[in-house]
Amino acid sequence: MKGCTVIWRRELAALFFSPLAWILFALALFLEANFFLLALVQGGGEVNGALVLFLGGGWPFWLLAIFVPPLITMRMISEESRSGLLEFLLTAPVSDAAVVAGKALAATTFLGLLWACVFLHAGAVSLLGASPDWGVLATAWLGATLVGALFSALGLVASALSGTPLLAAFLAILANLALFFLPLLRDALRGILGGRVAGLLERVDLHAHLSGSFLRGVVDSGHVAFFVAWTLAALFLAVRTVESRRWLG
Amino acid sequence: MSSGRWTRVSLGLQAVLAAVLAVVAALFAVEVADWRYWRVDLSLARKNSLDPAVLDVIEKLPEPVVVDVFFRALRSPYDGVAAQAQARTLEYLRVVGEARRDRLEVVVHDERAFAATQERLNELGVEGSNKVVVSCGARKAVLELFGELALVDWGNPSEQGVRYLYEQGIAGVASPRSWDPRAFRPAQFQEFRGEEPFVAALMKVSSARAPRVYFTEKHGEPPLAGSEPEGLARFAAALRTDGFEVASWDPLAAPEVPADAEILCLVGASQPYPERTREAIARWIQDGGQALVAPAQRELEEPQEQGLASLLAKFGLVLRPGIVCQPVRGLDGLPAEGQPECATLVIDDAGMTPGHPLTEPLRMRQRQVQFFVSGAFEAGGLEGEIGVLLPLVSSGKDSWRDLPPRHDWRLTPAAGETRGKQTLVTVKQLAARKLADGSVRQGRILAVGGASFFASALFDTNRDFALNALNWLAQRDYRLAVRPLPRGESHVDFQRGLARPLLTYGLGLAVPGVFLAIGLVVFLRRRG
Repeated sequence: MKGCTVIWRRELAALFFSPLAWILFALALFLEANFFLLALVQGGGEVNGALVLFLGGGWPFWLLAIFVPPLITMRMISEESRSGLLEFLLTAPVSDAAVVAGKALAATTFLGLLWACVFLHAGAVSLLGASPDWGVLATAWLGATLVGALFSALGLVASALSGTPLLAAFLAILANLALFFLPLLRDALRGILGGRVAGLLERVDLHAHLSGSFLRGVVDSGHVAFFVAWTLAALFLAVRTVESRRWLG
Repeated sequence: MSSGRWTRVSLGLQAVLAAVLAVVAALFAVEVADWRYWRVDLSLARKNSLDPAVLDVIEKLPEPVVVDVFFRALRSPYDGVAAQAQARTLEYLRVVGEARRDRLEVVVHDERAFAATQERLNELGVEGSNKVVVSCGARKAVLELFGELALVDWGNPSEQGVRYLYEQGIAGVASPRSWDPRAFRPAQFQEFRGEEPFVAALMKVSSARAPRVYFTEKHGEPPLAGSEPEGLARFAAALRTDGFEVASWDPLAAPEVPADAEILCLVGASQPYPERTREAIARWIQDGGQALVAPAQRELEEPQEQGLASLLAKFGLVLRPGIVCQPVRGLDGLPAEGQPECATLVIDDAGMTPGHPLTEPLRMRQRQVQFFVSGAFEAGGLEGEIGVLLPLVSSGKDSWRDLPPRHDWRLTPAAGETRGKQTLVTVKQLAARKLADGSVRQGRILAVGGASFFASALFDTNRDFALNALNWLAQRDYRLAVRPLPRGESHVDFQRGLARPLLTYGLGLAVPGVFLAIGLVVFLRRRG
């Protein structure tokens, strides 16, 4: 995994030296702030429920989580492959796994910083006299970052499979939507696909693992392992796909 | 097939195999992680440690309490969720037992030691399994594991399974007759609710008596049952859980206050009581009765000659006409009046009198109370009974009493409506009186500015004060407590503080604008 840190820094620098990252930040902050205010008004000024809205507690989080990681990862492999840069990278004394891991870490770091903007809101209401539950915020942020890591890994798989960034983004968004909606449709699909497949869908239920611990202020090793395991599985696929490119030439 | 095509096929197969391997490995890792796991609670509510309010209750128990646990495993496929519910409950009871070993003993009965377990069950007069029995002397409270201490969604796996659960007598399971073969759902552990029912059980067994509370009816009061947000159903239910007996009194049917009444609640009567009733109530209070009084909105709009105000005047308590209002802050940060929100008052510790048993626990834990359309009280009236009038909750210095033209609330201070603190909750303690039977009793009146304070819509915020008020009137000071919050809650004053303009312009526009500006700079530099 030598060179992973170099790739990570390079990708992170590339992200933040691109206007897209700042536009995404601005858009996310604007959405977060407005939904936060709406939640405050509707909740009678209660801050903790409003703060976790963007860390997995509501649909605004999922809206960003499904669409932002594909936009971040769409160019990471497919664009470099199209421009010929990927070949240079793969011939460097850096393993394919290190390349993929470095890019995944960069995307996850970006998303972690994006979710961390909620702490700005928490700081603001804290200055106004409220006492946010920092423990719940920290665990919810951890959960949101793990979701971001998983979706970034899927984005890298799509980017490795696709020849163009747009196609990569499209495939990644489809995969994210499937992962988001299929567990919700579990009961409806049980009759069609049978109990075993429905049971399998329970094993990829992001909502249950997020709300069962992270959103309650609890760090549960089982739920952390859930996200880490699926992220590693996706990254493994991405590495295998990049290796296949090498052999296909 | 050319070697190039074979290569592609081979690589494709490898990719598929890699995908299958990755999925299987992930599934295996998730299963293993669920076998042995650890959990760390970082939340403010700290469910892993006993809340100080619960410790207070245990501390004040008059006698030691024994908690007997009778758990039995369920058959597959319910063994998993049952084990989870039992484990959570045992974990909580372990924390409880460790907290005060001298006041509370937890005994877990081994289902395999059938004879000993059955003997204890017979001793307690309890049947069945998966129960927790809280006993104090001869008094006991039985808690069901499934449905009370833990919530489990039993799903709908098979006809046999449904029948098994039904035969176990588990609450919430549908009858086998209503089983739908198409609606397959596995059982799932939902939530552990142990703390609240357990504390309620402690309270129930630790009291030798259940005070009887009478609410007047048939005079336009909000209902004690039903789901109306302006009703008192949640208040009545909470009182019952807290060990009170709640009943209704129709003064038209029985003019005298019921003989077994310990507390009389005159909450939200929009029609005046007859003269005979008011005299009976006044006599009852003078003889040591405890009364909770809260006027209806109508009484604040149109003070009635024979309404609650005339009753309170006998005791030197004057209910002033009008609604207490406070300005709210608009988007520009300046105080604004004339809005419906002006009649909603959220009072924090700054508005509560320190040192009183009713307000001090709330002040210490920085809780709030909320009023909607509340009147104000003052001392006065030459005919008033001698006694002590103590304000407990007051509005802010910028509040005023909005006087009504009929049905036309301006909610804006006008001539004659002066600003200043208004007393929203007050207590009048009469002089102690020796009764004919030789006993000495002291009547008390707890007056709250509006009946909506106890309505279901505001009950989440006002629950602690409302229950403490009745416990204080019942002279059960050892039960005054502030319950743990379901999760850490904290409020920002969105109506009257600077929160709205700061958050709207600061977080909503300025911060995103800064990031957008940085993006623009990056874009221009790249182009340059």
